[in-house]
Amino acid sequence: MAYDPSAYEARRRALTNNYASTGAMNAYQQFLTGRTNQNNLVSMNKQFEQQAPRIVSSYGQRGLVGPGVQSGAFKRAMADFAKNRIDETAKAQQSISEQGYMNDYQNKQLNDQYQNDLADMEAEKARQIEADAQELMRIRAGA
Amino acid sequence: MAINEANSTSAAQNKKVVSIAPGKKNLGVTTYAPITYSPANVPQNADRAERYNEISGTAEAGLAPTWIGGMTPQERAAYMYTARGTSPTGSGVGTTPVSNIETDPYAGNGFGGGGSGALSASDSLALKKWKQEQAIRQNSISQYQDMLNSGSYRGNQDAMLKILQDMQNRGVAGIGSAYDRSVGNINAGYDTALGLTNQGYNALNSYLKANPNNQYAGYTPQIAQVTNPMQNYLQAYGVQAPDVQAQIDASNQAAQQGAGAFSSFADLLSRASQQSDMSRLAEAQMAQNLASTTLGANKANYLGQADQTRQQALDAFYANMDQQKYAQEQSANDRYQQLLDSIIAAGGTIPGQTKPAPASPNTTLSPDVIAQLAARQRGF
Repeated sequence: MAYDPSAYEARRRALTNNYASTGAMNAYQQFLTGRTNQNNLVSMNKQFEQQAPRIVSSYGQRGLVGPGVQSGAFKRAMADFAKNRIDETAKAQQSISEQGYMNDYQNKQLNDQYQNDLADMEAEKARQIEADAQELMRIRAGA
Repeated sequence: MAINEANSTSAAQNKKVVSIAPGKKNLGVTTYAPITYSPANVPQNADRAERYNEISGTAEAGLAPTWIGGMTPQERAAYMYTARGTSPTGSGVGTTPVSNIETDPYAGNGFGGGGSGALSASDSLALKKWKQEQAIRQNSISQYQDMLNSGSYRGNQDAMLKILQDMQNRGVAGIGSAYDRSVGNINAGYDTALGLTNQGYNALNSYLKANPNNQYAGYTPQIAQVTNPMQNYLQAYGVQAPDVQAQIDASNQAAQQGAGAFSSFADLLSRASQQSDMSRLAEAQMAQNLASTTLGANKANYLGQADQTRQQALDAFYANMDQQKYAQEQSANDRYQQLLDSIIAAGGTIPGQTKPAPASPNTTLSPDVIAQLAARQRGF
């Protein structure tokens, strides 16, 4: 096959289009996933904030907390509640972060593949030019 | 040679006038004007040569110049009567005595005989014929020798050889020209191919250097720090729990560990990408080097083929020309040998050579005497 620049340009356009469409689709999917995770985190925090007064009210009805009264049980319950919220929040944030890592990896992998394809195409082009040059020389030599 | 043609011719000229007995003219004998004999004047036609010889021979013999072969029997008898001085019946006297006929020319030339009597007319004619034959033979020998000395016998062959040499010169020049064109095309093709190859690989190297593919380099994972969302709430109720802060620290540590793990993963991918990039650059450079080397090898191969083709063409051409030249030289040599054979057959001497002395194993002659004898024979 003789060297045809238009064929390589067509391949370059195809690679770029595929890269763009895939990247756009990934980005949209990542956006949707991120928004869902963020909503879940917000919803979780809201639930924790709603539960906190209930705990205080529950211990208050039993006389374990109130003006001038702070029982050890109430303090323990509040500390456990706080630790639970911190833990759940941390896990949710970690999940969101890891999802972000995966998104970054996916994007970088897609870009890496795209660049590799372009480089492979450039190398193939050079090899085709070399083969054509060899053939040209063979023709000129009359072999 | 004992017979001097000049003297003989002179004698014939001195006897121009031949008297014939009065009253005998009615016999019908035709007389001719005297002819001075000369080998150069001998006609080439056989009949005319015979006629010429008889007329000149009878004149030189002191008889009436005549062509005996053209006489009737009666005319021949009357002519003989006049020549001998006798009548056909044995009586009568002729005007020309027999003694007027010159003495036997063969006597002093080694032809035997040795008699002193006068030659008959037929002997005289035979003598003239012999002299003519000798003149023709000598003339032929002389011409053969001239051809040998001058090399003119090679005329056609030398012309053909010159044509062949011109053909050879043109052919060799043509082969050389074709070879030069081939070498020029190979060199031009090599330069063009090398230029294209370098252009292609230089473009690839430029692209690779301008577009390093290391997507994971410098990647730093983001870490979501965990804070205490209940801090104000706990403070409001006077709850101080150290383990809450421990929980925060543990959660942050876990987040950092997770980010660190991914960062290590990214570093691994980055190094792999760098190696891949370096490998690709090295591959391009090696491919370029290999392409240049291959082009050089192909160029050497094509030049070798062109040289071999030229050599084969020259060998075949020279072989053909040599064969044709050999054929011409062989033809010239055959011609040369024919001339030698003709000279030898005619009794002549080959120019530049001496006739070998006859073999005489028991000879007592000294080498000097033999050399002198050989020198005499050279002038034969």
